[in-house]
Amino acid sequence: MIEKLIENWLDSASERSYQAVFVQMLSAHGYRVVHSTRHTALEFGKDVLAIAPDGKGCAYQLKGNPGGRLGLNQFRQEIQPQLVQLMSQAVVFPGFPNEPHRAYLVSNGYFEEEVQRAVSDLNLGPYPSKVSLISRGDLLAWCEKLGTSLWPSELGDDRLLLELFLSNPRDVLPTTMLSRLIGKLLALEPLEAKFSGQPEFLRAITSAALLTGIATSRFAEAENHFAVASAWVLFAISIIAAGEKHGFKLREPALRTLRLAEAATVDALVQLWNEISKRKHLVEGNALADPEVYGWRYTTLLGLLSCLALRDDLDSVLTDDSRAKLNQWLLQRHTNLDLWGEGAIANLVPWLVWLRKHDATLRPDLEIANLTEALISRNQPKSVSPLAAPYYNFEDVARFRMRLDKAGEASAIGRETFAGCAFTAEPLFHLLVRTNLKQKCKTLWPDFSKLAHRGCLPDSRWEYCMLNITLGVDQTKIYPPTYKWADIQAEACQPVNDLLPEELAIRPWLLALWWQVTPYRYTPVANRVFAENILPGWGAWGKK
Amino acid sequence: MLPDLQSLKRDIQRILDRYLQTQVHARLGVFNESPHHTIHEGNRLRTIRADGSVEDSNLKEASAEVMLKLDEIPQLTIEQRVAKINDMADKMAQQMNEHLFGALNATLDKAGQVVDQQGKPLDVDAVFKVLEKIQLDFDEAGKPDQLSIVVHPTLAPQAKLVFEKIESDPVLRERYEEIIVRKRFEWRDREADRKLVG
Repeated sequence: MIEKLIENWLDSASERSYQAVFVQMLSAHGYRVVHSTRHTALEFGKDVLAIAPDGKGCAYQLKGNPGGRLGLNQFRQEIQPQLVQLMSQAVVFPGFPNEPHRAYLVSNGYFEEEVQRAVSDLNLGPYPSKVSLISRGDLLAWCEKLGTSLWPSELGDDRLLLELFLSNPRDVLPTTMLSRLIGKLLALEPLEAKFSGQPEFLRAITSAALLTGIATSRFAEAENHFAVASAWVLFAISIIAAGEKHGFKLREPALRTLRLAEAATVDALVQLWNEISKRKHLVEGNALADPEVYGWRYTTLLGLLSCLALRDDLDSVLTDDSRAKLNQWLLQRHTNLDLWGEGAIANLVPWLVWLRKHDATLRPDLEIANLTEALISRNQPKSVSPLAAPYYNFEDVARFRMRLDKAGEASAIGRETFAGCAFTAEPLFHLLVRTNLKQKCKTLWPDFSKLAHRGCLPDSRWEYCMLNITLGVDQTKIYPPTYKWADIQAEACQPVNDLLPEELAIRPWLLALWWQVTPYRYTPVANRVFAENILPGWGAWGKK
Repeated sequence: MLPDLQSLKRDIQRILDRYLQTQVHARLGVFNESPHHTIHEGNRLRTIRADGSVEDSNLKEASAEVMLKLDEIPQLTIEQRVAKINDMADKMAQQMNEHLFGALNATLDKAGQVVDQQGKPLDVDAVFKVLEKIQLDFDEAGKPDQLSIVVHPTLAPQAKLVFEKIESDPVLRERYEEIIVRKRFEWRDREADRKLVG
């Protein structure tokens, strides 16, 4: 079944959806990928730049010929002129060797014999670089060699893989399915699973990378950037979890795979931003039913794009023009937000912290105060419109509101009491404390202290990186009615991280993206790690 | 295998499961009126109280079995199945009530919040002692909020007599009102103390 699925993937993929898997395969072969994006194309059709294990520079031009053959006509008209430039001109790119490089033409289809002959003729020419062909057969063999043979092949897993591959590519990503498959490969599930050693661990990582790219390729094909970003975030976080669980410090080549997953995430987010920046509206799909989900989409986009902006702050991934436009978009007044549940808090926090960094006025502090106040008042013990816990996604909440429960399944939302407790009020209040709006904190305190503050703390750090914590404590905390400002300030700003793997703690933008996938991971400790990384010392200046 | 309609049956089973859950909750008495929280992940619970005390506890299982004779199944009506589910609900609710009251008793014992009649029958003094010990909240109208009194079924007739006595005897009524007024002041002080200081 897996072989058929791989063939189906290759036969239906454009270069858009197989590039992420291709670079993972290069990385597994020891290549260091220095450039691979879909959003900022280099000149002459170079899609990927990598440095081979022998130090030679390699430039790849990827072509999508799903299920077909690249014929001479197409080659002469579309590819040959670019190929000649690729072979004759030096690649100028930071970190790329300044000497003749190897050029590759990659296709997920076949090259007709005439094309192979034409390429041989080109190689006889006076160009400093020579070109090689990588075709469907090579890609299939690489897939097999690099670990699709490790993919879970029990009947249930086969079915899960197929269901994921065939799921509606225009919907949100079925993260539970992908997480289960990755979890099996990386020995995160079952709990007691172990690797025999580092080589087995590294092979599993490559195998999981291929699975992530291939199983979600139809989402990439549909340009469902949110789903693609979610998939690579889930994979990146799973690598961190696996390293932590199995006691392997992440270093090359595992680190290379993690960086490629991060790059694929960023790539999807940049493509998302490129699409938004060109659009005049944010309506999607069936317009008549869109008002019900528009606010959720807007809030979700604000979260995702704030994460992109945070990443761009750390390491420029946008062009100057694109960055300026994104900053302008994030800085504008947002009137279409929907506080549909506590899950939305995890969308808004990255934006609020980004705003605090980029807007020197009092506005970010007031936005934090307003959101904190809204959450605390909505979830008071007798509230008739409390926000649902962050374990429920927008679809759960909307289906419950509209009585659109799936056949036979009454929503669990109706069986749970949300009034009187909150999962995200405590970390959000900590952010408010950092703003030093002491009077506002004092005003909100009576209602804040009436809430039961809930959260799940894993026994092991790696479980923070899972969709579901198996061994951990569901904690409910009641604050004393009277509390000292200095104490809450110390709690809000203390730098202790006893929850997150260090590899995640040093990647605040990835942490914030993890909250976009699992809003219930927005906890007081994670919040502190995030805020301290983005704005070191924020709020600590006023501490007594 | 024989022809089957698994998808339809799965949905029917979900409806029956939901019915069982509703019936179990309905049998939890006063506990059914308390807030319901789902443990979404993790394998145990912790409560950190306002006084800083920490209580850890584990999840408890409540289960019951239902026996169906294969030769009965073709004629089994929905009413008969509902009766079996109700029976399961009785058993599960009993286990849950035992555990919930057990946990409550243990916590109250630890906190010194127990009035021991040492074998004496329930009387007015015992009710007043209990009222003195508990922390009461009040609603906007100044009435006790969420005050429920739960007694064992065997104590119900005696409890009824005691409360009627408090209601009808002016002296006892005044004593009751005096306790409630004091509790209201305590509540006001408590709420007034909800502040961030410094």
